[in-house]
Amino acid sequence: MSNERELLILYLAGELEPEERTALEKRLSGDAALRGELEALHNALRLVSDSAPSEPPEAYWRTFWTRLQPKLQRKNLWQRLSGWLVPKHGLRLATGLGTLAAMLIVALLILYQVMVPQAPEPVITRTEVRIQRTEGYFALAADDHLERSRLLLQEMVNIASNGPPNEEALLDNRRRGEELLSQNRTYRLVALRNNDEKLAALLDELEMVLMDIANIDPHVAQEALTGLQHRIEMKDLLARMNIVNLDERSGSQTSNSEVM
Amino acid sequence: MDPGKEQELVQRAKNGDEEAFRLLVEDNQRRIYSLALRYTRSHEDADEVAQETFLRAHRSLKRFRGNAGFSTWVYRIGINCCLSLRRKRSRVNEVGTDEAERQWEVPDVKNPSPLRHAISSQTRGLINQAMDRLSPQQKMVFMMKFLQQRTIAEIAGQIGCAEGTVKKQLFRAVGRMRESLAPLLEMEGS
Repeated sequence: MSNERELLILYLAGELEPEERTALEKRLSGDAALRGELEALHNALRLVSDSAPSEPPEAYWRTFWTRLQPKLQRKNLWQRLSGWLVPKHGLRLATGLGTLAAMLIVALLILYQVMVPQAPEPVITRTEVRIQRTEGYFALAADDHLERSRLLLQEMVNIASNGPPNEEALLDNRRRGEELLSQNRTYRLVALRNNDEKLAALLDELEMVLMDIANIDPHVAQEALTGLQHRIEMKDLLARMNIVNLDERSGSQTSNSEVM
Repeated sequence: MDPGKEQELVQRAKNGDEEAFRLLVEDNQRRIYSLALRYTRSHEDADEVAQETFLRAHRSLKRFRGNAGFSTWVYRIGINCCLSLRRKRSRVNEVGTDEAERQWEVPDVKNPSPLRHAISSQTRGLINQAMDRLSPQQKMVFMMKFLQQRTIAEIAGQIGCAEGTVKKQLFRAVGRMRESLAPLLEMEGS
């Protein structure tokens, strides 16, 4: 019945070739059940089209532009402001500064790890307080990184579920993916150095997905996006990132309060 | 609008000429609104989609290369806006109760359709519920095929996927609508 129904739908949609149409009409004349199904489909479609809302009155069109124009001007103002912040060529200033700041924090962390000798005494020294504070900073930075990555992954899942991919949104997400990927490597290395296996493992899996996003073709087919969505869902990344994120947050709060 | 004139307006709009953009909006607003109205089945949502479509078009105008006509391009943006519309409120049994919509539901004297006026607002609510059970893609394909009479090839081109995918979505959509509306059709038949 499924194939027959498909044939009937194409018939009602006017999408059959003339010879297919003739053959189906011949079958319909001798098959009451098939005729019944055709009638049911036809009635369902008629019901939908007869209940379609009517077009708005002329007055509506007179106000369409007057309502749109102020919104365009607001957007123009925002574009000018963002244009000032974001140069036309080269690295985006805002993202560039953000990346630089994150890299600087991580570099300082590594430097602390290398430079500060392990304290042999159980007494809390000034150096230990510094280490605790540094770990707190790392937890905060990793927390922020996970949150931004989680948002990106969630957006990719939404794009995959919402149908035809939007080229503009994909380009923007690809850029964010590139940025997060470069930071993710550093965070993973620091997590490994800190023996935080749970975070390092999560960042490792996140890296694979970020790599996919950073290399995504903006003209990608829906199927490829669905594949990415499945990978994110199979690894349960969004939920796991939330959990680790919460752990990080509570950890950083603890260490900060300890330092204070 | 002829392609030459459209191209000229696009060029002027790209250079910041608001009057040119207004003319482009006016040339396309009914098509976009009609698309959104058939998809959302709500004047309020259709208005939101139509306005957002032109805002996005305005924002992306500098990136418009003119490979396709402006009308085709803006129609695609309209489709994306429909698909990404987050419904702000439940519309169960709502169509026909909204004051503005009731005012607009004026009987068409030139083309009377007795069935149209006989369908109660409750029935419309049920039809809308059935439409809302479809996925956004199924709903879009169903609407473009049976309410806008586009060919499968045209739909595939406009939403950017293969014809086979459009057909699959169409089969699922019609099948689900047929099942959802079966009780209504039985009532109508009895």
